[in-house]
Amino acid sequence: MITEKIKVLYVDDEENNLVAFRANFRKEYDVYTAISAAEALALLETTPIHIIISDQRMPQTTGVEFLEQTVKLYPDSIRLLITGQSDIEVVIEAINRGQVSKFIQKPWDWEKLSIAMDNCATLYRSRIELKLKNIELQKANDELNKFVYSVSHDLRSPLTSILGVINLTKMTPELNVASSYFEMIEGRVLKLDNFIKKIIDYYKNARDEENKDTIDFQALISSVWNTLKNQNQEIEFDLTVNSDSLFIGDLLRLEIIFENLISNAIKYQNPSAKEHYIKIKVDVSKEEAHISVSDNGIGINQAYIDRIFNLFFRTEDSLQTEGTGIGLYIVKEAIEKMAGKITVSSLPMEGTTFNIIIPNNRK
Amino acid sequence: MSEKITVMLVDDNKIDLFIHNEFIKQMNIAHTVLDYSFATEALKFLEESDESLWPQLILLDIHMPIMNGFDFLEKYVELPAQRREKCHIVIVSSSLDTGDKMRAKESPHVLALIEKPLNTEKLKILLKENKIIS
Repeated sequence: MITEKIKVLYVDDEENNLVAFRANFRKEYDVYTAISAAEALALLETTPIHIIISDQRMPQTTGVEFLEQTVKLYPDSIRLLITGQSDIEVVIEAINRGQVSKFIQKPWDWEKLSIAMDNCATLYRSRIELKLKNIELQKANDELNKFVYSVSHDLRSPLTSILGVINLTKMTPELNVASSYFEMIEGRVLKLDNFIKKIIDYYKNARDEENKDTIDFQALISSVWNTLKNQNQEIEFDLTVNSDSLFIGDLLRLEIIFENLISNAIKYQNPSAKEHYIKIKVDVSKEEAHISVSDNGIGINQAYIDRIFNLFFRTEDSLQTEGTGIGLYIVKEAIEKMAGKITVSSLPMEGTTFNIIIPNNRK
Repeated sequence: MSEKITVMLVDDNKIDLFIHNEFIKQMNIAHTVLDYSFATEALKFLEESDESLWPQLILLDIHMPIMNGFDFLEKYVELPAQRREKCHIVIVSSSLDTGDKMRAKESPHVLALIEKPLNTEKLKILLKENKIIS
């Protein structure tokens, strides 16, 4: 919804009309006036005007001619014509050439003019709203197309590998080697399974409404860690939660965030480090939760750090670990849907820290 | 015994790389197989290697991170023309949309597009037709 004050420009060659108009509407609107079409066009160049009102009878340029000029330059503006004579020709011309939405007869009735302007303001707002929605829709559509295409590829890719391995098994008469081939099949099936789970997460996160759950960070993060810790027994897990306040947030989205960040921290451990750790610190206040997730893993190459939150972006490292390129994208989307922010800092072979701020949704 | 060739495999998926390697062995057409998980490294090899080490056949995957198959093709045309003359590229991918197919066909170096899983019989016929193997 556009809430800013509507900017109105009124063009008339009679100074008295301009003064009266301004006096009458200055409270409700941001009023601009011009004594001629030329002056009005100059003003339009520097000031975005939402409603353009013009008198028809003016020396040099008529109202219709002036409004016609504004159509191409300012297509979003709403045009209103004030005409002294009830001349049907002028009205037809105005509609066809000047795309005028409303007419007012001179001498005007203040109440009618006020209603007409109110209608114009509503029309302008819905026009802009529609434009914004269209842009959003276009963006969503583009993303969906890209998504469908990539998904279809990523879903099929492991399956074609499986088929390839099976073909190979058929060509290989010695059964003893077959068992290792079947292990490969298992690996690819697991990858597919993991990928599909991530897509389900993506859809879950894509919903717009926000749940209001009471969040116990200690319990939530511990439970996520417990489901993941078997992947690497050597990691020391350090969780600190300082809470001054009850925290209300979206449990499912927070789960998705911790699940992805912890699983990444496990996957990208540095094999040459003496000790492995993952540290999570949560500070909850009335206003927001500050969360940091750090590890001493392999870190992220600086060249890729701006792109790690992009959908389907993968680095060489994530290839080694069968990354899907969806996890961090979903993390960022989930945080943004809760009006929060995420930043990352990382040094190769030293580790990575994600800092997250999520507003407390207590109100 | 016919003359054997050098084959280069470029695929980010290690298992597919292994499978294709095995297929080439089964087909008994190559004396050398070069596998690359990254198109960047494959390109580097071509840039730096003597003509005698160049492959006569490249099996190229399309969907790869960092440098995908199309990026590879873009860079490939900048390599010396006389070396490219004896080298043929076959695109092998698990999915290709029409846009991808058009793009691949536009490249004069691309002999054909084959969908995964790779069919060795089809590949053999294609290579014979184009006189890459006898």
